[in-house]
Amino acid sequence: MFDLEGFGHLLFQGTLMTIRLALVSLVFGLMFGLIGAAMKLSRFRFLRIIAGVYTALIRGIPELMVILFIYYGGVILLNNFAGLLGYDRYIDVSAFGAGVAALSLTFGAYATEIFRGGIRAVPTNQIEAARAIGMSPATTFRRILLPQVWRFALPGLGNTFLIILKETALVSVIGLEELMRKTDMAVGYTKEPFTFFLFAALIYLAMTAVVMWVQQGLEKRANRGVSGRAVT
Amino acid sequence: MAASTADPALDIRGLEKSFGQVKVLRGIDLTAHRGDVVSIIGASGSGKSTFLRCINMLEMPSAGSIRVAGEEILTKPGKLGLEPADRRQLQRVRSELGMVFQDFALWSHLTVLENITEGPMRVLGLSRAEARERGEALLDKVGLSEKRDAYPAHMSGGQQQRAAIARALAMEPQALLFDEPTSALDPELVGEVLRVMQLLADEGRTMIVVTHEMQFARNVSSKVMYFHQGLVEEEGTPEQVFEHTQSDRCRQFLSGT
Repeated sequence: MFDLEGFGHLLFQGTLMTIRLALVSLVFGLMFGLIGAAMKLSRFRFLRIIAGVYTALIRGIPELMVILFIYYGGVILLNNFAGLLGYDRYIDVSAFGAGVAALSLTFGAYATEIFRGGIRAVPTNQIEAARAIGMSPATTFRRILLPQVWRFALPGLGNTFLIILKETALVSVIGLEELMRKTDMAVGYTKEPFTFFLFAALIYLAMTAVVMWVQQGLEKRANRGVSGRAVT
Repeated sequence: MAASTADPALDIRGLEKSFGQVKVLRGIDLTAHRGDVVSIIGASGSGKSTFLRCINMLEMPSAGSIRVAGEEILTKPGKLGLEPADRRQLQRVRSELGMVFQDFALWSHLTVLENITEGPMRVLGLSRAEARERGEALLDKVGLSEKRDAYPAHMSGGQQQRAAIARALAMEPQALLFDEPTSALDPELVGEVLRVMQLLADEGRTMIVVTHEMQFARNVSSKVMYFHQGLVEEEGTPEQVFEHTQSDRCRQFLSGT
């Protein structure tokens, strides 16, 4: 069906890079999201303001610009900082590192709001019962709150991850050789844009299909015990 | 720390609680010896539920002291009344006070058996096998053995409340605190919960019960306290409170229920 003219291996490498970028960004993004939500729900105004500025900035700037800011701005900042410390050799920022930073900060900003909503949606009696039994706040968070937060957060998180997965293509502008860039290279050599872009599109589609399938499984698990959707 | 069996299971002195300008509790004393069943009755708004929630400091009291089996819960003055002085100590004392809520408050993502084993495993450090053994024995006691793998949402209110009682018992507490345990139940389900509570009283467990069930207060309690506007207006044996009522307000309250 597709004659990839020997570029199949190239596209495979690109796909692996895209998956790596997306998964590493997901892990850091979830962490940023949880920290952001904790800050937004904090008693301390100072923390709430920082989290507010974070989500407002990231959600208010085009993703492409976030990537460029981090890549070029990051280099300048890092080198100036290293210069202050007396280190005068040029430090390079890897495209992968900058991509992970940009995508995970973006995912984290959206996840902050999703987790915040999820945490608020867990009935307070669940937490009270844990306190009354003498459970520590950390254990309560891990064993009682978080498993129930997933129930409310997973649909939103899955949705956001799909967007991030596709936004990995933007990281090609700073030279990361992920699927989009590899496809572009193949098109440059073969002058067959339709074949290669269509093929790459199908790969993206396949990846998102897997994400949706995983999300469904996780949701089913997170909803265990809730009326009508039991998987006992 | 040095708790001896000579100490009362629960000893509360001068407990006060204010919400802003409103004084909800205005100096309450309560001593419960081992095996005592203390029923707290009173109109809604009289402070009885707040009092119960202050005992394990789900609500922080504004003043007063609480001793559980001789150990005082350490507090220090804070902005809005007292604050825990040692969170770990508070957690340990809480683990010695079983609480049963009006709305059951079972953890909805865990099965009945998991609800019961969670505390022993995560707070007391029991192994899974020990906790399950303890949990299954308790489920048997409250008559829910066949529901051990059910989720709370799939059970009746009466079953949920019995499971919640088993969860509290699994901590082997010094005393049990019941906050209107039957108020959220359909009338036909009240009996099964009260029977379990009667069983616990017969076993000699120390219980503080905020309740509207006057039959229970009369037949099962060793002591009855009538709360009115944040004060104990009348207290004594069930016979003293129900048959030889001293205060007019209490008499009025009893005739109204």
